Amino acid sequence: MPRPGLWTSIRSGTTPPRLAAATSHVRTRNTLRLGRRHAVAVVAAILLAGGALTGTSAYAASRRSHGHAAHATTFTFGRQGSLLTRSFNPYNPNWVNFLSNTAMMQLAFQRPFDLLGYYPELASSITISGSMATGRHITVTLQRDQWTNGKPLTSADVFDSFLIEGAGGGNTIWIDLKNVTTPNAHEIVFTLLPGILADQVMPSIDTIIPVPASQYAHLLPASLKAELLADYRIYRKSPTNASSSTVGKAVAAVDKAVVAFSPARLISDGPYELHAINTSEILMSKWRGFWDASAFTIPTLKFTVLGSNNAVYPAMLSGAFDETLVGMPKLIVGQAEHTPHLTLFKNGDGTTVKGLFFNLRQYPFNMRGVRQAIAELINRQALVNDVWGQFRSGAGGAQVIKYPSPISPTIQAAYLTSTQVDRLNPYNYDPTAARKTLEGLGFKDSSGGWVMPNGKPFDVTIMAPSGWSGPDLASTYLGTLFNGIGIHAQVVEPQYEQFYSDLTGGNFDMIYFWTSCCEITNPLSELTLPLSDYNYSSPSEPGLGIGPVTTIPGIGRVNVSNAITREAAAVPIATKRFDKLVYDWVRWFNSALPVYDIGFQTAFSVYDTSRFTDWPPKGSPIFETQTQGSQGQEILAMQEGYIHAR
Amino acid sequence: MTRYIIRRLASALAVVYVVISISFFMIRLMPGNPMVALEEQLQLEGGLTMQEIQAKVSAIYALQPHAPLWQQYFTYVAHAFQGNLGQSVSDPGTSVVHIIAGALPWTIFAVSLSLLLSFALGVGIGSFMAAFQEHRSAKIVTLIVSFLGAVPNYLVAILLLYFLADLHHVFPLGGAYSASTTPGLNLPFLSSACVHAALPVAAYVITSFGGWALTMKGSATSVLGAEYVRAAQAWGLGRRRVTQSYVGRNAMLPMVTSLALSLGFMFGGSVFIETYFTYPGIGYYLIQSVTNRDYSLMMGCFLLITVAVVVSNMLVDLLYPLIDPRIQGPGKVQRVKVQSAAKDSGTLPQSGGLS
Repeated sequence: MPRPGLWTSIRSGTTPPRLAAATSHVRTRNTLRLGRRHAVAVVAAILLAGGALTGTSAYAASRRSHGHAAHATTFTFGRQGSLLTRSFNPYNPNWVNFLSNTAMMQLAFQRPFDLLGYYPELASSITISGSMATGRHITVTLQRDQWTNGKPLTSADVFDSFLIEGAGGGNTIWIDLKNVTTPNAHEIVFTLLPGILADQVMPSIDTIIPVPASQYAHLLPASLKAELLADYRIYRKSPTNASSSTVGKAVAAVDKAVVAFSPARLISDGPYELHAINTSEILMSKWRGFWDASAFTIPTLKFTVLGSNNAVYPAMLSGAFDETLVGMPKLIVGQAEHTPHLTLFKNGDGTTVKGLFFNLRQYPFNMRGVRQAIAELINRQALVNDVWGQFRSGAGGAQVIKYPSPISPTIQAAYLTSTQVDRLNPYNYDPTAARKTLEGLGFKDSSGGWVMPNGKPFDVTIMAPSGWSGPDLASTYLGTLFNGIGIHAQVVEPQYEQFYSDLTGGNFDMIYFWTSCCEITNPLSELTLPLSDYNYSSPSEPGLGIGPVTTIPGIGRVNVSNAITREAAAVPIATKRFDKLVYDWVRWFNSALPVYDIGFQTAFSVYDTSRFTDWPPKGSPIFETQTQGSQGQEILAMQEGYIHAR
Repeated sequence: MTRYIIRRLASALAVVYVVISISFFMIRLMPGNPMVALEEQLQLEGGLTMQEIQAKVSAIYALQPHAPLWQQYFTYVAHAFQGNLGQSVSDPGTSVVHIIAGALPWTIFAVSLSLLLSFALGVGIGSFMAAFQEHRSAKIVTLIVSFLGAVPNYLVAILLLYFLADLHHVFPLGGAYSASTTPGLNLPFLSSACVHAALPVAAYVITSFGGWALTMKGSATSVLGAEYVRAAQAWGLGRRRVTQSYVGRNAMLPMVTSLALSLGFMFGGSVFIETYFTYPGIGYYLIQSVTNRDYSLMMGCFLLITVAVVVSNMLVDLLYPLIDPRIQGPGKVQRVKVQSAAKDSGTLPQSGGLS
């Protein structure tokens, strides 16, 4: 709300009187024609100022009604992003992510750390039957929900959405699927392949966001289900053969048509419907056809989308948003911590493992001992403390990985026995041991710094993408650390595209970035990021330079990139073979250290208690729930009876 | 005259063609591609697993043109000269012309308003500074405008945003209008558009009127010392006549030329301000298209900027004789030469100064 004093000063100090005085003076000293021009300018300025003042007044009134009144009616989300290009099709790359789990709901929200637990959304229940030997049946029963075009939500909508997800390759359940049927308008039954655990596919079912068949069915040929099942049968044996097969091409054609589809309006089924959208704002109003509409007491949601994180920070700190999700460096986290009306909470979305990539084709990083020595030179706990920050509120969020591997600690605990974990090298901070290792390899610590065995100075370049505050601070920290011990380090931060090009092209010494991300069900999938996506993704892109063919103890001599991709896709989870593969890869990773994982970083959201109160308590599983669109936590909290206007 | 216009049009088309050709190949030398850019954006937005990000990236890859570059080039040039600038790479299904048509009114509104306001303010203040050169107030004003002219517009944008939008919530944080209004000829929308434009316009005006003022001061000062002004005063012409016809008109000539050229550059000159204020004009789309490696949209923006500059240059060339009789129209060149020769031989009467 504008302060009265400031408002008054703006009104009294408007441009027109000043300009008019100047113009009047000029007219007497110069020409009449100039004077006329100035008069036109004055009129224009008065019109603009008048419009602006009227608008400012309206804006102020709008802010009063939208959040600054005693009883707020609009809940405002602050986000970084762009709405310049937007699509109402969830499968289009320009899908407005902020509509996920506000206007378009998932079937269910999976409870954190509980694969079978869920908060019901569009699915009222999910039941498991049958045996693993013949294939489990998972039956999803739908709520009595209504689309905004008045039509009921049916199993046909979910079925079509599921086909689309399969065609796009975004839903992993298809790999484990034997069949999918719709026995009636309210049920859909997934039949899994023999040997597949229901636990492992539940997240894939929970996260389906149904789209209305009335809008999308025309894009899906009747043969699509059979083609998808056939396509994934081939995929399980060979991903390459699948994409070149006849059914693979047919599926790809459907995907292409779906992606390019641009519906004129959004037909939604969530608690809020789209009211208006422009290039910087989204307004949503409550949809009374939602099955649980009575749980929602806030009539309007608003998203303010700004172009950069730096634009979001001051707005967040000044109380412009009721909830903000944005990447924050330590400085901003500290400011948020010390702002009385703001509270940080750990957000279930956006958890990443951060670490160092080494270029194994680059001397001296092709020597395992050098990589291990560098690991021991880094005090990971100090780095996490100094760069990622420790939060006064105890919100958590940064945690050193005890046994470096790209698999997050939670997954390590789930798939490795304690004996297996204890066999891994923790790479504790030990500069003396690191020095001995380097000297053993022929390095010398001279007065001018370390010299490599080939007689050249030990110079390293640490690369991180520019504009990513975390990697920026950490790489600078590491650069200072190395320089302090006589390893000449230079930090370079190219734009992301150049960074990515250098990473995949193998044009670097060391990179600080995220080494794995987000995957919570399949540890082998986590390994595909460093071993396949960033490593020999094509013959001309050596990336990290691991292999391409190398010997992995317990697995044998394999093409690393191909092997991990195939195994992540085809080996059934929760089998002895799968567990052995996980251990073999982790053991090799921990020993060979092509990637040195430093810590596990959780994303933070910030909520503001100025206008809305009764937030879930800290540590609530609601905040840790992973949702599509990164505002599902707030929607879930509202639905669970939290968050009310003051 | 007709031949001259045709020649100018042909050279303008040649310039546009060269710019299109160079831009087409240059922008593809940039590192990365639309898929990498999308991946980064989705990673930064959060809320998606790596697998979901990969699925979206694969989806956009399927929609990319995969023909050889030279083939894409000839297709593009052929289509561009028919007004078809292709489909946006990052926004499948939307034509570049459609995107530009949506962005153009905002740029024209905000930047042309800023330009005209800063021009009017600059001319006024510049005239004042020239007229009262020795006065202390003029010296102070000169100091202020010199300072403001040297401050980068993005710095002023940040300060305005911080104090008036972030800290005190007097103005909105960004955008062109409130989503709660309905675009059209209605008061809530128009006032919302004005208040959203206020800070971008202010940032532009604050940092650019100084340049106009200094130019105007320089121009007016040089005219004040011209012989024909002194001659007019010596002939006893009235003060108004001297200031209006001899000083004012001549001092304004370079200003009008600069203004016309600035109008041509305005589409490309709004990049920083539009980006900082998330103002959806051409400049903001241009930055987004570069970030997203949206080659088609980038080309569209470059083309628009090029055409605007070329057209404004051409218009200045063609219209200048109308405001400055010393510069004859192309068709009159021959006649002027004849007149000049006659004047030299004493067959035509001499005219003093300008009329």
